[in-house]
Amino acid sequence: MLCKLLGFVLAVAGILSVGESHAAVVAPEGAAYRAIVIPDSAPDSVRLGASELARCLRQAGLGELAIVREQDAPRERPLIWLGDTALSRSHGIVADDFATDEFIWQTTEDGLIITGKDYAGEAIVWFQHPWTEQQVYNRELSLGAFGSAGTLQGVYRFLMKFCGVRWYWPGADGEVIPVLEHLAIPELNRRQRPAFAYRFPFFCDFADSADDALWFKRSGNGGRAPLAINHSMHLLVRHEAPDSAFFALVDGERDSIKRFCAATGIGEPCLSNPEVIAKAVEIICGYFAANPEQEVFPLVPSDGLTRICECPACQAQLDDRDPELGRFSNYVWGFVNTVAREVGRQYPDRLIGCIAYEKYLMPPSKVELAENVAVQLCKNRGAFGVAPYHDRVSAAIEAWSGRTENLYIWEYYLASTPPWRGFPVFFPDNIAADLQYLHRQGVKGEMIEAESWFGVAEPCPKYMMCPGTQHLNLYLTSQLYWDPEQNVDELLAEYYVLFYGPAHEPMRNFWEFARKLYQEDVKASLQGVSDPTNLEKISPLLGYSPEAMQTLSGYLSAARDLAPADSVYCRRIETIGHEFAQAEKLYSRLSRKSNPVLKIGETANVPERLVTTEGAAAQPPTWFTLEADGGNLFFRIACFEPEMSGIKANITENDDPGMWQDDSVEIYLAADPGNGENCVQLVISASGKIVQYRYSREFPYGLKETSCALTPRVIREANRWLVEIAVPHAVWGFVPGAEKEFKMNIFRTRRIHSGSSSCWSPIVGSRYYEPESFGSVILQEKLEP
Amino acid sequence: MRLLGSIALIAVMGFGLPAQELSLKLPEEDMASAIPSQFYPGGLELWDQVWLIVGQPNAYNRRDRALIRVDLRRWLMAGEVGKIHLTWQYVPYGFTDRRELEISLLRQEEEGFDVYSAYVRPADLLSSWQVDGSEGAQSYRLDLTREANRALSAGRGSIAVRIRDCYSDEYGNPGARVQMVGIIANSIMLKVEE
Repeated sequence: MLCKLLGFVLAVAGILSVGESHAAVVAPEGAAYRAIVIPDSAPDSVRLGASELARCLRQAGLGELAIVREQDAPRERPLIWLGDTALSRSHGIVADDFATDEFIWQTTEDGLIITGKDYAGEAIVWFQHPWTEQQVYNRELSLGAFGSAGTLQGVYRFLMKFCGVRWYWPGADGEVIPVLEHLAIPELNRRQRPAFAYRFPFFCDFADSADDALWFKRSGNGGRAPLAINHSMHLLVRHEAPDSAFFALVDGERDSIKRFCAATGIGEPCLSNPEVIAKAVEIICGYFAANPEQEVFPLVPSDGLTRICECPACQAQLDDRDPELGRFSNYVWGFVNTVAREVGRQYPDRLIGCIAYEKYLMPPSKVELAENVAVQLCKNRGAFGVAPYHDRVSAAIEAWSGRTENLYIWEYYLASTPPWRGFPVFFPDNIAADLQYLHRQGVKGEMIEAESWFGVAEPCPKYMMCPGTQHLNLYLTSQLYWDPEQNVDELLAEYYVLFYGPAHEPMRNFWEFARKLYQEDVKASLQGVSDPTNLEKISPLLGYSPEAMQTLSGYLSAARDLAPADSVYCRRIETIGHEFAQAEKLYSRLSRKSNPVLKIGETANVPERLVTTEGAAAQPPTWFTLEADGGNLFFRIACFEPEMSGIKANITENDDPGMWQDDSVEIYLAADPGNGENCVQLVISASGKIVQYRYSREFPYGLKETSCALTPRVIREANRWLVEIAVPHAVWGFVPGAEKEFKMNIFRTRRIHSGSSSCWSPIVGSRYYEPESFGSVILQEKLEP
Repeated sequence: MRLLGSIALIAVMGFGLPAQELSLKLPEEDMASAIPSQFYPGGLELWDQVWLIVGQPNAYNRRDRALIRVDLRRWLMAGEVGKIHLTWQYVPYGFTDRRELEISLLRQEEEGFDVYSAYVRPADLLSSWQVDGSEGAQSYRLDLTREANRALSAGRGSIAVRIRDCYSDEYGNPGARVQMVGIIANSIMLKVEE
């Protein structure tokens, strides 16, 4: 590819050498284009396309082309015609017949036509994250993630193909515009559409960053409308009485508010209840009536679904043939399907969507899916190095692709989440192979959950997180959405040269080494990890050796030496270097990390202080003491607080799953000193209320106890709030006398200002439930029961 | 040697404690004698004794400072302490006039007691300590009640004081002579009325 690129540059130079007197873009018959013409009432995306085209041609040294409306078009030819014009129609081009984002390049005697289907209405948004106006629409640019923008995509692909323009990351520093000074356009009559109709990498909020919104489009992303498939059961239950049969029955109680079934949400409904089905149909039909531009409505259980309704009709739908990935499939998909059939009578062209996820990831065994059911399968191609996981996902995709025409993917690119932030997690071969496979399986598109603003104070603008280390996966993915058969090595070869200029050799080494590291070395180390998709729970130490970190650092240093100071190449390398420095710092900390050990007797010990989740001194301070006798552990936790009037203590009842949304402390206790996975979590609000969860391999997101019998005491003073609680050993399965050691961690969640977390034993990821990081408590004397 | 004579004097002094007082010996890691490039946890060993040095312990212009950290964690849950004093025995050596020593409270004392930075960290003047060089071994009592309770109120588990010799800090060591105040490390006691 490098040869091709050099050839391209030499060809331009050759053209220059024969004595062209004016910089220009030249039509096939040899005349220079004179202006860019847009329809008199051009949609915003076509106007944007015109300004982008004029700007890039100017910056490429190809002269200034004025943008004129069709009615003002000059008589002289040739011209560049953008959008749905009389000229395009006279050539039989019917834009409405085009697919979303499809476009055509056609040269005629009047000039070059670039047009496609262009949406001209209001912003297409959904009412829930991550498809709200904040996330998918930029008012400054009048640019949305959704709505066909065929002409705009035609312009961008034109600039990429004929002018060599590239957009590797958001903003001016991510843009490459080669200086050409002369460009001859060949005869063209080419229609092009993306291989995947729906392309939504979610890495920014459009409203916060015009640069990021532009990069989204420049990279070729978009879709007709949001495929808004996300957790949505709260939409069904939010107006129901708490004791209503609308809610799932769990241990004799209704699952209203208390989250017996799922880790999130406001209670799960009984999906066999005909009233629930009728309510879902009513809500969905009402929504489609009011929002004709939308094409899908979600019916998705809340996150962390571990139990379902215990009424006979619901229980009859359990499928134990695949307890991990299919136990709830008949239950969830049966409900989705029933509602879809009903909605389909009124709105046959709309979809009812659900994610294939958790215990309903596999297709149902007893349900014939209706044509208007959309399935969005959740997976992580970055973890495909782990063969059993890859095999499992492939089996699921193949099972689904035979059951529905509406198969989509929910993908995760979350390497900007701690503890991987700043590491060059790079898996181009996984991306290419997977997109080729998905295309063959008939998958229509995907969303990528690529945002992570964890650890950044709120409110803050939502830009691409860690563009230096994240951009390349996103760039390649976006390109392959259009043609998954593109050669990744060729794309990378031109990237190294174009993006890093004189420093391309060491930067090529950097990225190629990162590629090998993640796809081979990290892969090898992940083989034994139970959930290779959950990066936040996996230490980078598993795959990155100290020597590897030094090698990466060395390549960056060599690149810095070659890039002229203040050059754009230098700034790009510094952006990557700055992010990698964070990774090095974290790596150093993780290398030194050892979990704390607390030795206690029956008398009060010296207080232990909480630190930040990364192990640094935490402010304001929090201290705890722990004592034990034969029946209980006794905790005293002092949360110092300079702004006591600002603490959040709104929870008024025990067992409220939203306890952690208050200022709160959390205690994790695991009786087995060799394995913290099976543990009890107590969350105590500053209001004095408590909720209790149980964790295990089966319930990694916690199973809420229906009624916590513990009685914490919270004392508020002028400068702090204190928690005192006795925890009977029986609550967490500890047998005094048998054991002298157990696992523990303690957290404080502070809600004032931007909020902060502190803990006794620092964690690697972002979830508090991290058994590997629990500290040890050693009883110095054996307790008598 | 006058210094050795002073040590012998201390050995026979003894201390009588009021009944309500809790007397605690500070652990070695909570005290240090420091110069800009070195520190000695627990103090500097000289003449078979461990000392915290303030001033010039030899012919060079060292300008040693002493650092003492007080662990307050055992009173954190109670949130305050009745009275808290720090006491120590000291011996002036190499000068016969009066020297002013400055005792400062390090700002925002945190858990990590880093004597490298403590030597130069921002500090607030706590008291001025006049040392008469013509006297032998003497004792000093520093009231830290207010400072300790402020720290406890803010949830800080320790405070630290720094002691410096104003003369040597201002004039250096013009005569290239030992001129110092030696604080006897194992005499440093924390006396608390809970």
